[in-house]
Amino acid sequence: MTLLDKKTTLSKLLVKDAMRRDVVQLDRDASIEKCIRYMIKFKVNAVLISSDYYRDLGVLSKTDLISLYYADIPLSVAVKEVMNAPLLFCLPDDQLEQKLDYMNQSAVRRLYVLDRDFRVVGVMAYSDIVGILYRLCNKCSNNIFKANGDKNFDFIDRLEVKDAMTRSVKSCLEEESIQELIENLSENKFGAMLIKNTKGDFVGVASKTDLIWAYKHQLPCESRISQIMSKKIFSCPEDDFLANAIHNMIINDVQRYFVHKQNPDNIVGVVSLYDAARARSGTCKACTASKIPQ
Amino acid sequence: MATKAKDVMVTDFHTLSPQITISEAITKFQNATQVENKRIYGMMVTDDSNNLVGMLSMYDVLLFLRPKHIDIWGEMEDIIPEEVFDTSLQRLRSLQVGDLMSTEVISISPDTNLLMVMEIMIKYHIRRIPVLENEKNILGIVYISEVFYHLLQQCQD
Repeated sequence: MTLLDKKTTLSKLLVKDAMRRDVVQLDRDASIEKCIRYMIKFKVNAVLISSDYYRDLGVLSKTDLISLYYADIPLSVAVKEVMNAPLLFCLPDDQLEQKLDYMNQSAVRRLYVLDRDFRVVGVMAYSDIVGILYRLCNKCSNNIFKANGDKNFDFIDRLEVKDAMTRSVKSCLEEESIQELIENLSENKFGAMLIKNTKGDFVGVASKTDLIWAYKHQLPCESRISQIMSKKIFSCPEDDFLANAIHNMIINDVQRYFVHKQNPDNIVGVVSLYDAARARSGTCKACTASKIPQ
Repeated sequence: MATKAKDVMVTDFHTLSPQITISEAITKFQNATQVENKRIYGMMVTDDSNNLVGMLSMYDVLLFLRPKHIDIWGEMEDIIPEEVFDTSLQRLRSLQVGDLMSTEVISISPDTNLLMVMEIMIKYHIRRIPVLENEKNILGIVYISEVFYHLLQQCQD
């Protein structure tokens, strides 16, 4: 058990305190193209494929769509033909911690929440957990944002980015193909990859969102990565407060920050909202559930 | 005789192509607003054969700009909206009308009764409805303002 696993601010919370109530869903006969459009517009990583009977519900995630892109499946195919099913569910009054363990053991990123009539009333994904952690931290008087330039403010026990980050940096070359990018992302289970030029400088980032956009616009998989990558690389120093990194990810609506050491060119890892949620501890080492105002 | 959609529809309408960028669409919104001398909040999107394929409204664009974690922002201090939107606006630049348009478009026929038009607008919270012939050819568009003033004309007499 790591230090992060021992501390938790979520012990008293229920699924309904953290779940997202707006569930983006699509009819079973909708096309893959529409599914991608919904993901872009509503900024979600997965779309629920609806059904009258809960056991027939399905889901399509960005990861699923990228495989379909790789396999050259036409955009006009109905989502019911390619969706993932069955889904994993929980109830609004379930203990949040227990369900996070369940998500972890089942290797899924989200659970759908059913009411007593077996209707979907919410979805709980890791990024939503970050929202609630952030809210709890913000209420706390030890929050770093309360320091307001006070040099005597006690910063000693705060978690830093390096406590939660993944220390692995993989990259692709900008002239490599989209196909190679997909293979790399799938192999490493990454959501995004740094892109280098031939000189070895980092020149951008290509994410799953960029890939589904390319799929929607029917860019051949042989196209170069440079055609779809974003040139802006969001990064933070490894000794930055985790709270700051989460704040910046939320502000900039991105799911990950790359982590650099000494200077922004020296990228040593990546920290994602997923890592922050997995850490579950809020952002302060001293924090325990009893200190959190409920 | 009962007033129908064709009596209040505007036939001089503006359309967008799904391939143009969102920023080009915004310019078209502004131009249409000037030409029509009234605010245009949404436009029909048509393909090369002039068939209706969707609608793009200001709401669709704002939906994209809305930060994902907006629900927790109320509790965050010192947020500078310009900084927040900078990233979203950058992303918006690479998007096309076809990426954000709504394709579940409710349309009416030219012979739809005006009261039914009003009912659809209220029920689905929409302010403009395309008028299609044979569910395909665009004849015009009915704006809520036309319906409103037509129905309430008697009030002023």
